[in-house]
Amino acid sequence: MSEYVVCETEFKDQKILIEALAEMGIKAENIEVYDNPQSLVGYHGDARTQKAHVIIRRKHIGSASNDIGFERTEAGTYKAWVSDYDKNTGVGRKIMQGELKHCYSKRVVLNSKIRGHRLKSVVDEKDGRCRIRIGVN
Amino acid sequence: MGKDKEIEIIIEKDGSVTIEGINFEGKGCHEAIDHYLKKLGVAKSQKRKADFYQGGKQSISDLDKIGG
Repeated sequence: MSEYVVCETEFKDQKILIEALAEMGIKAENIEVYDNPQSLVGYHGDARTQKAHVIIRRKHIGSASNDIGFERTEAGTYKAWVSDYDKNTGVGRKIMQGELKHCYSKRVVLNSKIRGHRLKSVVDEKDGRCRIRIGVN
Repeated sequence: MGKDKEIEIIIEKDGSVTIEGINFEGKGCHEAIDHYLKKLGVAKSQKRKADFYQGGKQSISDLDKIGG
């Protein structure tokens, strides 16, 4: 072994972010995508101060839920907006506990096409860990 | 003939990711890892083992670097 890096995953690719959300059970047709950020809506129907470019409306999450959104930052990464209520339930909890990052990261790696690199194995282990091996010429 | 060079990427259940170069010598490892790091996010920590320096002349003080 020569080097290893512990990486903090950032949502950079909108298409893969949406695919990862779909993998967690959010139907693609229920994910709204905007060029200009739109206000998130709270469970009272109130417009919240947070805005987002990728939005899952609360009707697709739960009756007491608020909208969940992902706002594209100036750096080009997507910041998740999840209300305190939703952090502890359903898809919001999955986002906060890292399940979305897991799905996203796996898709990013498997979609990476790098000259001289070839996928050797993908193993989903019982403890939830995914181990991907790539051969390098 | 050397062992096959590999990148191993481990994605934990909580979404944390470790990228490791295996059987590399020298700077090729860093370049191979960097492809995936750039696509995934940013480095929280980065460590180089002694065999990294077999192909170069870096100072021993560079042995462990913490980035991010």
